[in-house]
Amino acid sequence: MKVIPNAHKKVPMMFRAQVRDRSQLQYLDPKKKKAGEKQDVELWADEWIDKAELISGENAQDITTDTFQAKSYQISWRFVTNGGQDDGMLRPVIGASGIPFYPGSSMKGAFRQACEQLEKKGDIPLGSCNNYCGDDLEITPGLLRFQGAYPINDWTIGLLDLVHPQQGWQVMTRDTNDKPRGESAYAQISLYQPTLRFAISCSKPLLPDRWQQIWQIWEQAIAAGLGSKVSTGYGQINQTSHPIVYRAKLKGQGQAAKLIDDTGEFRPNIFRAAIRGHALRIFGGLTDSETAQQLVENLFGGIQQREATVGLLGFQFQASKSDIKPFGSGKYAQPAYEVEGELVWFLAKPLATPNQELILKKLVGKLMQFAMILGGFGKSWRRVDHRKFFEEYYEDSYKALIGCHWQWLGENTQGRNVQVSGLKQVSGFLDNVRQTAREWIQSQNNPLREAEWAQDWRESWHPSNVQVWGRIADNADESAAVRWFHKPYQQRIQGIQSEGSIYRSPVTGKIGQISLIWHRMYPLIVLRRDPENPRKPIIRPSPRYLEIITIFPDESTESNDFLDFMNSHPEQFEQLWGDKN
Amino acid sequence: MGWNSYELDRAAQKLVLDARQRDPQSLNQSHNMRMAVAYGLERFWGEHLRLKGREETKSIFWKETWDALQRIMQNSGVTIPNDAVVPSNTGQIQTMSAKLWALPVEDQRVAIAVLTQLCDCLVWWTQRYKVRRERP
Repeated sequence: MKVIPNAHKKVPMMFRAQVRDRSQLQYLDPKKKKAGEKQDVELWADEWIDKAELISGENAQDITTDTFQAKSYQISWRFVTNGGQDDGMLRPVIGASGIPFYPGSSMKGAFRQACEQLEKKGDIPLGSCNNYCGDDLEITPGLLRFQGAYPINDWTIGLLDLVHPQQGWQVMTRDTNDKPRGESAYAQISLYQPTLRFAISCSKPLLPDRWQQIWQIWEQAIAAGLGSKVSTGYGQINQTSHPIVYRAKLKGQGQAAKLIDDTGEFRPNIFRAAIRGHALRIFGGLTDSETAQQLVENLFGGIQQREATVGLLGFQFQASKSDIKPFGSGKYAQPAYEVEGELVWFLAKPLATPNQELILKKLVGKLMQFAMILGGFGKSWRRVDHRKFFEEYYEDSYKALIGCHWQWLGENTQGRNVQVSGLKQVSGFLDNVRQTAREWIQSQNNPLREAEWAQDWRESWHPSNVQVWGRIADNADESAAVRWFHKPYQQRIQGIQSEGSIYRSPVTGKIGQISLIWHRMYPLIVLRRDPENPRKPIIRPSPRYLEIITIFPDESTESNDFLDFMNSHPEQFEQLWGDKN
Repeated sequence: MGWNSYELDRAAQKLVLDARQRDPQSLNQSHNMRMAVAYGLERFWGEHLRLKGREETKSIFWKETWDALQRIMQNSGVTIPNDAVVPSNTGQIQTMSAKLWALPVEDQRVAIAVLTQLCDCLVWWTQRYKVRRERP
């Protein structure tokens, strides 16, 4: 038989040892990135899709016969299923001809669960579940065969999915040059907006209304989310069968996440990351660090002691508009998103007691408002969008895109969420956020131990760890603080004052080190009480902004100097919250 | 030449019992091994390196299975490479993978067939010797 020279260099990634320098699919090698080489997982995906086939949508129409039916549904963002074959990486089951496949067994599991819930609620007759899916006790087979699903659009685009856990780095670590373990980016394979065609067959002919019921049950099943990581936004279609906790329409612009191949993507899980982070900050200011982490784990799920838990909350973002456009040039070229849509938080599993529901609703609302008033979502969320508030900055195009800008959209959302329409309301709002968090802690049967708050975290939300300053800006061009991040805030005058600057200091942060300051221009909306309809306020938009600086002082000289400067009330800034120093 | 059983089943039983004594939870690796065979010798061999230092008892189970394969194949006259390799040493890994893929294709096929059978035996014994997790 012929001997292949240097065979080991020609072997596809899948068949190599899953170790460094042979094939490490989950790990992203910074050296390779620098050298412009492809990552192992990119080679793996290329090798896979090179030989894989597509099923054209035309050849896979919906089918309606009395013994077999097929229907297609589109996943709104990404879809991840783990076949469990590879320990090192999440990847879908790969079926015949290399086509990714959602197994019939998983489909049956999801169907059965939805069916049991509907049966319990009395929406379908008792016994339907055993009739359709089979009966364990009697060992009778069910009527239905679940054939699984294949994608019928081009599923080969955007497969590589970067996941970047960074909660410890963003909130807890003091020295942000030193990233906590396990928080480096890793790769997984997920399908991007696949249209999945699900097929079900039946051992005997069924009447159309029975088939209709079967598909209704199936729609209930997929509305709960399919595959894994559903509470992080994966596997969702544009409706949910879970009870809704909170909904709001939002509009935002900012720097898009980059995929491995540097194309941009708007990743809805930025909402979850932000809200989760804020929950941790706020709980960290009210109770000890362990309890705070446990509370967040219960709310949002996560992995502690290698045991994955599902949280109470899941979310969906339905974009009504989503554009990715390039920004900047040369090495500053970045993808930027512009997006509008509705964000929904839902209850992913039942509450321990139903009376917690009201307080949970209040908590999620407060966390969302907190995120919208003080920061933003996604990359560079601690800064205002420089394109909007510091246009001159980009007169020279060799500048990085900085910041993001988010606002409430639509009168219903505004009417419910505008809590702050002037400087005076900020402190009351922040106290209210903490009070709501206290109520949640108590509803979880955790004792309040406020004296033991997480003092060693960088961003725990406690009055002695954070100061909030604010002023009113008349319009988008009137941001006072945006310039302080780019040049000295105070000029040196011989014999009178020294130069004061946070520019390029640890206070403002840099790549790899997180800033001590958040800066936000929150669009002011004024609500007037309508005497005719006291339940629905009149909404008055305004060109003005609430300019807010949130600072977590760290005792450094630069930080102390900056606080002294703030205490001189530049540009009418006043301290709105936190202990005075 | 007379018939020779090569005692795959005995070898598997010993591997499983040794693994069970080290750490009953590592036994389930047998199922992973049976699946990994499909990806060929190199990937199977590499798994003990991936687990090394992280999940030591699992790593040892994979390595001992590889050692067993090497011994059995040696008895039948086929030499399967089995260098001592440290996971951090890229050179050693490259050398081993080069050696594995340089094996005559016939030998690779026989080795994979034997490894498949050995893993089937491992799974069989695992199911007999499995220690169930105590339910709370």
